[in-house]
Amino acid sequence: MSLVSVEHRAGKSFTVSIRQHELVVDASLEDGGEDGGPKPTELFVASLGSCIGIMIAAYCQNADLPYEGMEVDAAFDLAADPICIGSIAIDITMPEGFPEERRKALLRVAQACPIHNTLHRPPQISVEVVD
Amino acid sequence: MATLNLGGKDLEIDEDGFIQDPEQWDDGVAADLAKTEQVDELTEDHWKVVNYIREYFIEFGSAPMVRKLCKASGFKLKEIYELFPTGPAKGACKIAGLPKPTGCV
Repeated sequence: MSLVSVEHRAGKSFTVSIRQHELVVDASLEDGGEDGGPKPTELFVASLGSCIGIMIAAYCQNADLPYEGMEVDAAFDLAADPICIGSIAIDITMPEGFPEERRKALLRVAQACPIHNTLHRPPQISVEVVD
Repeated sequence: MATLNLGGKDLEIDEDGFIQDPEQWDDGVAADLAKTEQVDELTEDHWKVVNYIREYFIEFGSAPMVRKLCKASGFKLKEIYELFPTGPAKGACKIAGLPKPTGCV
């Protein structure tokens, strides 16, 4: 597993480096950032949406079903005390020609993605301040 | 706290433009709030969402979760965001005269 490196840029903006990939994460203008990139909460939900997408793509490739152009839309609600993501809604849109009778199987695939599984069995999280 | 003329009334708003007195909300206020959230004109579809959010808030004291809003309005997530580009939590709730939702860092 690669190291995920999060380096401060300015204000509330950070560069996230994962292998040869980089992206900027920032707070919104309302939350005191510059909106220079997605918020951590948005990335969290995006990880679920994209994990679902990848699992569905793999399933469709194996089953020789159409999936090109598929979309996964995700939205979330925040809860307070403590502040957290309270609910996530996911809409999956398959291309024309995807058989109706495979929808239930598709949902099972989506609900078995690693991120979905992780949310249902939260991992141990260990945080330390190091020198 | 600033004041803004909305629907022909001078209303107190917070730094993000949410009205502070829900009792002052009406259709005219909603129409003017909409312009601040990238909605030029409130169509029948917009009102379907706004009215549901408002009724839900009056009954339960909080905004409906986004999936509940989809089910009640009949709109998919993408359609909700097409109607309210700034999102259901910020855009639609503001237009419906609700208090500002929980923010995050």
